[in-house]
Amino acid sequence: MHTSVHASAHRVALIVDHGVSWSGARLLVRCLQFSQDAISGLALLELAGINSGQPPQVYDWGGGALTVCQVDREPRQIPDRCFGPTSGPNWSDWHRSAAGWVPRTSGATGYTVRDGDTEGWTYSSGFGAPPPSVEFSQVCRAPAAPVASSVVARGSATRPAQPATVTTPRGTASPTPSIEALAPSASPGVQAVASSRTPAREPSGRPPGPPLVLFGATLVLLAGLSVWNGAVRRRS
Amino acid sequence: MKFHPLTWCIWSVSALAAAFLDRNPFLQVALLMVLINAWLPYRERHAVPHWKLAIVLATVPVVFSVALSRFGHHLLFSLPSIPIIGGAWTLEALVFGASTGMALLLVIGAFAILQSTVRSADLVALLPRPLYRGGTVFALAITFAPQTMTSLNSIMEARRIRHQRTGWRAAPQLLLPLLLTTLERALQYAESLDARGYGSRRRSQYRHPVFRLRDAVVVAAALLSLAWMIVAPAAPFNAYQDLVPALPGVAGLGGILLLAAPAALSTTHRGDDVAHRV
Repeated sequence: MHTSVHASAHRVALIVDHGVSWSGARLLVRCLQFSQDAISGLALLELAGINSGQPPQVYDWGGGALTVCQVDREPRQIPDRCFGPTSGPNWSDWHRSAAGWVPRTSGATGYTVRDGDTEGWTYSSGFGAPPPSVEFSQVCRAPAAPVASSVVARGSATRPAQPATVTTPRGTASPTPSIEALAPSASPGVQAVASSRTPAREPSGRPPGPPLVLFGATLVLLAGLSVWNGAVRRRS
Repeated sequence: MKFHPLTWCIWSVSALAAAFLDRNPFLQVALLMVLINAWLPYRERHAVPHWKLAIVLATVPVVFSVALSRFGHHLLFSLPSIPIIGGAWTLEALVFGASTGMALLLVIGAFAILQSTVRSADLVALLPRPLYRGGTVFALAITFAPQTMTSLNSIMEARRIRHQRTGWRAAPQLLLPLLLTTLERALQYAESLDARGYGSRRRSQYRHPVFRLRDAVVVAAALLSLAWMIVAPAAPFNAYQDLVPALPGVAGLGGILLLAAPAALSTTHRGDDVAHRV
C-alpha cells in the first residue's frame, strides 16, 4: 500500500507512539490523505504503510474483531495470539476529541475515520496509554500545492517547510534525537517522521516567576500561622 | 477555640472538595499545610498514630501505581517478564500514585480534624426531627464496630491464656462468645436508652452550641472557597500527560487559603470558651 498523494482533500492525522523500550524513532506523525468519505482504522494504517510498507499484522479473534499486533515493526516478534503474556505490551488505538485522547473500544475495523480526525496508536502494557498531545493542525496544515515529501527539523518550524527527500528509513533505529518534526505539513504521505526519546511538549508560554513567588509566600504564610498557633496553644 | 459543629461540617465539606478536586501537587501541599494548621489547636497526645496510619495508607497507591502501571515515557527501570509486575516501571506512574496518595492523605486528614473537633452527639443533635431517631441509631451502630473488635481481642486473649487456638480454625469457638457479648451490649444500650427516655423527646443538652460571629466568618470563607473551586477550578494535573505540574495562580491558592480561616481565628484564642462536654 502507498499513500495517494493526488487524492482529494480528506485528511487524517496519524500518530504512532512506540513503547519506552523502542530503540528507534519513538514518535511517528503523518498526515494521510484519501478520496473516500471515511475509511476504517485498519485501512488508515494500511494507507500509512508504516509497517515496512506492509499491512499491519493483525490477529482475528473471530467475528471480525481484528486486533493490531504489529505496527512499524514493533514488536519484533509477534507474541502468541497477539498479546502474549497477560502483562505483555500491545498496541492501543486512540481518537483525538475536543477533551483530549479517547480510547477506541472496538477493533481496528470497527470504526471509521473522516476528514479532520486525529488517530493515535501507542504501544504499552495494560489498557494503553494516550499518545502525546498533538493536534491535527500540528500534523496537517492547510492544503497547499502538493509536494512529494519533506522532513522538517526542529528549529525550522518558523520557516516555510523546505521540500526534501526523506532520508530516514521508516521505523529504523536511526538515532535522530534532534528531529521532532511536529511542524504542520500540507503534503500527504511520508512527510513527517519524528524521532525523540521523549514526546514533544507544548510550551507553557508563561514565565514561572510570579506564580513561584506567590506559592512561596503562601507556604511561608501558612508556616507562620502554624508557629503562631503552636505558641498560642503553649501559652494556654 | 470552639466552633459550632455546623461550622466544622461545612468547613469539612469544603476541605474534602478541595482534596478531591485539586490534584495539582502544589495545591495539595498548600492544602496539607492548611489542614495541619486547622488541626494544631485541637491536637491530642494520642493523635500521632492516626497520622502514621494515614501516611501508611497514602503510600499504598504509590506502590500499586508504580508496580502495576506500565504507562509513561520516563523509564525508571525495567523488570523481566514477571507476571503482573514485569515490564517498564515509569516515573509517570510513580508521580501519579504519589498524587493519588496525597489526595487520600488529605481526605483522611479532613475527617481526622472533623473527628477531633466535633462529637457525634453534637452532629446527631444537628439533625432535623424526622432524622433524629435514625441518626441516633446510626451513630450507636457505628460505635459497635470498634467495640466489637475490642471484644474479639479480649476473647482471643482469654483463649491464648488458656493455651487454646485463636487462628481462623478457631473461628466457630470465637464467634459464639463474640455474638453473645455483642448481644449483651446491645441489650445494655437499649436499657440505657430507655432509662434516658429515648424517643420521648429530643435529647437535652447542658450547654447548647452557640453560632457566633467567628462561625459565620468560617462558614462564609468555606462556602466561598467551595464556590471558587467549582466556578474557577484549578488546572487539572495528570502525570501521564505532563510530569511537571503548572504553578497555581492567585485563584487556586486563594481558594485553599480561605480554608485556613479556623486556624487564623484560633490565634485569637484567650481560653475563655473551653468545651463543655456532657
